[in-house]
Amino acid sequence: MEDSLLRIRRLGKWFGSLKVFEGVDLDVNAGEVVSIIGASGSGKTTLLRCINLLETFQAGSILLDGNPVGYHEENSKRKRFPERIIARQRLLTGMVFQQFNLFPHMTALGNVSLGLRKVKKLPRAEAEKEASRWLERVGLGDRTHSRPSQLSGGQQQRVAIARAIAMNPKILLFDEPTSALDPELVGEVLNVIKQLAADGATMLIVTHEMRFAYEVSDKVVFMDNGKIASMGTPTEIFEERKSDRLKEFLSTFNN
Amino acid sequence: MRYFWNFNIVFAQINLLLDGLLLGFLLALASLMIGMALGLFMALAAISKHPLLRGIARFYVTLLRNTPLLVLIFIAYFGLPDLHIRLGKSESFIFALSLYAGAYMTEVFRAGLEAIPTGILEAGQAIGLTPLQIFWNIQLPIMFKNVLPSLGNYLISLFKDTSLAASITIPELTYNAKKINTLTFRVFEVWLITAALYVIACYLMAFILRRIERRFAIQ
Repeated sequence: MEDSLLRIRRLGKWFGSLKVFEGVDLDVNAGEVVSIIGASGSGKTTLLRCINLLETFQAGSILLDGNPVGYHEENSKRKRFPERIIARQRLLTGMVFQQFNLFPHMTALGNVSLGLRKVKKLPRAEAEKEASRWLERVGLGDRTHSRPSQLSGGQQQRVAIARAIAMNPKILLFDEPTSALDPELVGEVLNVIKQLAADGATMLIVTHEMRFAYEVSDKVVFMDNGKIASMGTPTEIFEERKSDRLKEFLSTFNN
Repeated sequence: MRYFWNFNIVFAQINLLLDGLLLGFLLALASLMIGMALGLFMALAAISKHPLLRGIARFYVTLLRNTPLLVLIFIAYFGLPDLHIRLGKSESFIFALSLYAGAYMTEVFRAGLEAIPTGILEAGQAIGLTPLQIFWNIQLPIMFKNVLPSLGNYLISLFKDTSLAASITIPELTYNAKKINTLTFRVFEVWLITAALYVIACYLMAFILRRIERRFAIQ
């Protein structure tokens, strides 16, 4: 069996006494696109945020490229890595947020080049050249000097995608990337993601766009009530609909 | 009863008033700068996870904001020498006004930092920036844009507060006006012109600050 790029085992997350999820096992292989679907509050977003170490988790482990991230065992005690190490571990993942979260005081180019300059330590000129290359890839070569406030939601999200992928992460995490967009802007963002998938990027996508998940995914995960309820190929999940909960959930979507 | 207006006798001394105006502006600017540095540290203490640091910031803000400025000025001018801290008049005034300004700056900066959506900081974390890099490259510049209008207002407010420096005989505008008043006894003329100078200076500052704000605005 090949070693998966992302390996999650028995992952558990609580906010105080409130359980978000537990016993989550998930593997993502290099080049695979995995979508996570499920109702609001089923723990999908929190799971994604745990992988990016923006959330703590209380049980289980996450292995990226074979190495544990976030926590390690020391004298059989579970310890969180120091912040500096965590910052470096985050480089293995790229995150695209529902609300874009662009840096409002920087141009599109500044947003994409900041990490290249400060984290990858590239000289400014080189970082900006690299950043413009990525902005061109997402179709924004002519907007490099625009501020987020001068861009549409769809354009902002494409800048955010360029910002994430410019850091050359092993896996891209998308947290409902089109949920905050006007309907007519959804397509341009999904097309960029599809293009990245076609180019072989490894991706984990939390989404409510069922048709998109069906088209783009190698594997679909259905989360329900803090557990992975079903997992399978798009055909298995969307057409065979083996469980009642899955049927019920999918019936709320018309497409 | 008739009052014979005679502005000329005051206008003959206008340079003294203008010198005072400039000194007042410089005192305010220096105090704002030092106050901003102090306020930034205290604002960081105020939002830190450490209860002791938060306590220090709260204590400082409460103490300074609830003490009249004139009392602070007297403590700095008359009190510090007893502790063998010898400062010049202007220095002790700047000391008092900076401490006072710092308390207000703490609140301004704290609000400016707290107004930054967490998601933007998380985006910084997500591209691998360290907490210090996030502070310098994201939090600090966004905060300054957030608080620029307040900073301008405080500069104007501090400028007017420099009239209190007259109480320790610093030759700023109010003190020099008092001096001309004593020499000429043209009470109305002196104080009306002085008031007009304050108004014009403040209005000009507000005008310039608005233009700067517009240039820096995020939209």
